[in-house]
Amino acid sequence: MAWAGFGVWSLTLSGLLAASIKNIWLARLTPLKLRINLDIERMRKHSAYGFMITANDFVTYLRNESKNLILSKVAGPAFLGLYHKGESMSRLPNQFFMSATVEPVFRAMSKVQDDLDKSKYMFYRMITLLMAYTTPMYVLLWWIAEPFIGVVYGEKWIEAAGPMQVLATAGIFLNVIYPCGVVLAAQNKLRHESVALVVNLLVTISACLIGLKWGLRGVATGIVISNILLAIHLYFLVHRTLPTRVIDLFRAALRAFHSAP
Amino acid sequence: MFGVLTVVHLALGNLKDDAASLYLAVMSVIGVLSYAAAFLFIPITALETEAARWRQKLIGGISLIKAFLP
Repeated sequence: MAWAGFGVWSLTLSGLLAASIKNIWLARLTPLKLRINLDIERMRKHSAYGFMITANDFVTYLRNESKNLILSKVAGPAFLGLYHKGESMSRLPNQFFMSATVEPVFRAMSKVQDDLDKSKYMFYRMITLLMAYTTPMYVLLWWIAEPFIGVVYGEKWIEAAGPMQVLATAGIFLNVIYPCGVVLAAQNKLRHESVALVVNLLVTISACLIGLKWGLRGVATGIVISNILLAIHLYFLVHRTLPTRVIDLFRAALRAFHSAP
Repeated sequence: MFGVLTVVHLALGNLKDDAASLYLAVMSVIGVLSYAAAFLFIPITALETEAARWRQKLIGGISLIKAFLP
């Protein structure tokens, strides 16, 4: 389509076409016989849960976009571009492991929703494994940030190495944030998570505005602090949901690097 | 791993400024190898089953290569 001169429409239409074909194909493969069910009580139950999922996704979207808006308006598009490059590079370990871990654990945790001990075991096991897999990658990224950006993207992007290095340290806290989100979703505590996300949206906006005074590294440090606060807030909610102690969190994190006697 | 990379960084001196791509290659290779070695051979309790699974795959791979060698 691009060759035929459709311009931007080639991207739009190809995306729509690909999504439609994928949906039709998946519908054929899925062994579910779908039919309209007008059970109001069931609809209310599922739509309430779905609404909270959408609301949380929307707040997360606002969190990311408000950061982009502030950086773009206050510091300019070049600043935003450099920050964005650093941020996307520092999230690579997350992209590799998070969705592959979160989705099966959520399904398993939802099945044992009433068994809080099993949920607790899965929660800490997930943290341990994520720490073991991603922390070495964050350490490596911290060390090679500058030469990596310089060699792969060129000298004009070199300033992106600063936020990349700082944001790599936030990876450890993402290993707590995502499992907490899974527990809260599996235990149907999404309303509490929404409150935490809205509070964190405000913290992120403040962190960006304050961090701008110190440039790219300042903004990145602000985002790391907002991630730490979100991890604490979400863990506090998990702590109220599961029979657990704060020391268990540290044990789970350290177990990833603890050798057998 | 942080310790290993610190030692390598110090040993490489000014290579980061003089030849960034070489510095990147050396740090990446040593980082990945030290992580793989720690994962496979240090008996980390939480990763015992995972490490055993990957050790088996590694042994299988080596056996396969050996079978093709004269």
